[in-house]
Amino acid sequence: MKSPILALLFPLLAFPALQDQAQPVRTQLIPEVLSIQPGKPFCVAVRLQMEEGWHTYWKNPGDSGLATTIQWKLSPGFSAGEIQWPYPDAFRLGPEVNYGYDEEVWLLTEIRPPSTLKTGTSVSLDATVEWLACLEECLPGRADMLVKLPVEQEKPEADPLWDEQFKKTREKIPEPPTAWKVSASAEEDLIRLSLNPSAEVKIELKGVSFFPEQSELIDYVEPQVLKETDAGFVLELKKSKFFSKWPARIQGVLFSSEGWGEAHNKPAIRINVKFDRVNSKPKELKK
Amino acid sequence: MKKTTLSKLTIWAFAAALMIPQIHAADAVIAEKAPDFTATDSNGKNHTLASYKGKIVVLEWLNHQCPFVKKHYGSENMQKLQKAYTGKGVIWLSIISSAPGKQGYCTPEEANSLTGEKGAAPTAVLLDPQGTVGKLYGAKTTPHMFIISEDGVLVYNGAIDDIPSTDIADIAKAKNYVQSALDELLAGKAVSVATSQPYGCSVKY
Repeated sequence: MKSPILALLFPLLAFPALQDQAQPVRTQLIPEVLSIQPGKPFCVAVRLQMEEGWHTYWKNPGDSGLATTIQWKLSPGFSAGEIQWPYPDAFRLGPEVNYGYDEEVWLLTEIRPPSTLKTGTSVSLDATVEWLACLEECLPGRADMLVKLPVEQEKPEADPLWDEQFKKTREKIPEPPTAWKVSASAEEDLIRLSLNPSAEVKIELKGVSFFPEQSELIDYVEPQVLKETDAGFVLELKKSKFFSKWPARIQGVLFSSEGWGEAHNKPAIRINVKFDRVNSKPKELKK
Repeated sequence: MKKTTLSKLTIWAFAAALMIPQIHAADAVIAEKAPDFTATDSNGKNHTLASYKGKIVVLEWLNHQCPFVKKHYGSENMQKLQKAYTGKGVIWLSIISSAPGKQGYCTPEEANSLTGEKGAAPTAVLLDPQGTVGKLYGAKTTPHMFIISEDGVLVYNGAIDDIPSTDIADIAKAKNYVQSALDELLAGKAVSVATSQPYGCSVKY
């Protein structure tokens, strides 16, 4: 029953428009569902496949590079959410650190169709993706991609071809912590993230990295130092040389190789905490 | 003082040759004396920062094959800035820190022909294939801009403007940090934005 739909859909997916042959990045536009239900949000992925050694960038590219962007052209009444970025890798290149993805990344966006949508019609989703890919040298790239979906009254079925990939991608999309209290403070050139678990969390944090969403905050190259405290942990970060003013809030992603002991147990959590500029660290710990 | 700088430079060059992990904490600190350097330009002439005391100096990190540099040269944005401010007595040094064999590396002849081709108008193009000056200043990207005041103090370290992109259309919408800093300095004012996150390609050390 599904095969005719797949057969119709597959050529569209397999041959995205305007693909430059010399590009080290291949792109695809992949809806999670096989049809659209009026008023029911669904996800569409932009899949970027990088040639060996090449990488594209996270929302904060780090010391150099440029974030990938997606521009949607949608029918009236539709809206698109922000890119749901999976946590990035840190690439060390000489005296620099970049945040991004090698091999392959799926960038998910939620599309919200209007509830007034007529069933029995079909809808085009049109995305223009722009990226910068770097090995050592860098090449900007762009792809215009289009995919069509039928509008049906029934609850949409997930495309079985990509179901697993969407699941895997969501494992990497950080969520706000539920069992951790995170706060931020600073003292001179150090920025401290206090990571305090609630009583039920029993976990030894390991391989913790912080990826700030804002630039001009931390030095990307300096080591990030994790220390144990009475209440939990503190991650010490060095202030950026390009720092201009204290932000009101710190947003970013915290990765731990052992996870965070949360119910969903993803390896990364997303934080958005008020920045406590006044030093709240007990002084006596220092000596 | 000078001796310290020189021996530091030697250590850096030595470390680079041995591929020892680099000390990344650069000497260039805002509101402090800019570290002195000596480098040879594309015409074989030596330049030291100290010899430009009394002048405003701009350092521009350059790699003509980088898409971000292409944005600012393809639009003539960089050339216009170079012409406007060297015309007002500013010393503008474009520095190529790409290592031999890496993207952007130029022989003196190649550097001169690129300068001609692009209609660039810096005071000089410095060749820094060992990356000595680049690492001394902590140059991260091409472009990456530094401004040194008439009394030798580092007064700006950062991006050329506030829209990180490779799109020429963004130049008209962007606030050019270098332009505003130079205008402020020439008017005898303090630089209001002294640092910003530089954007571009990594420097190909």
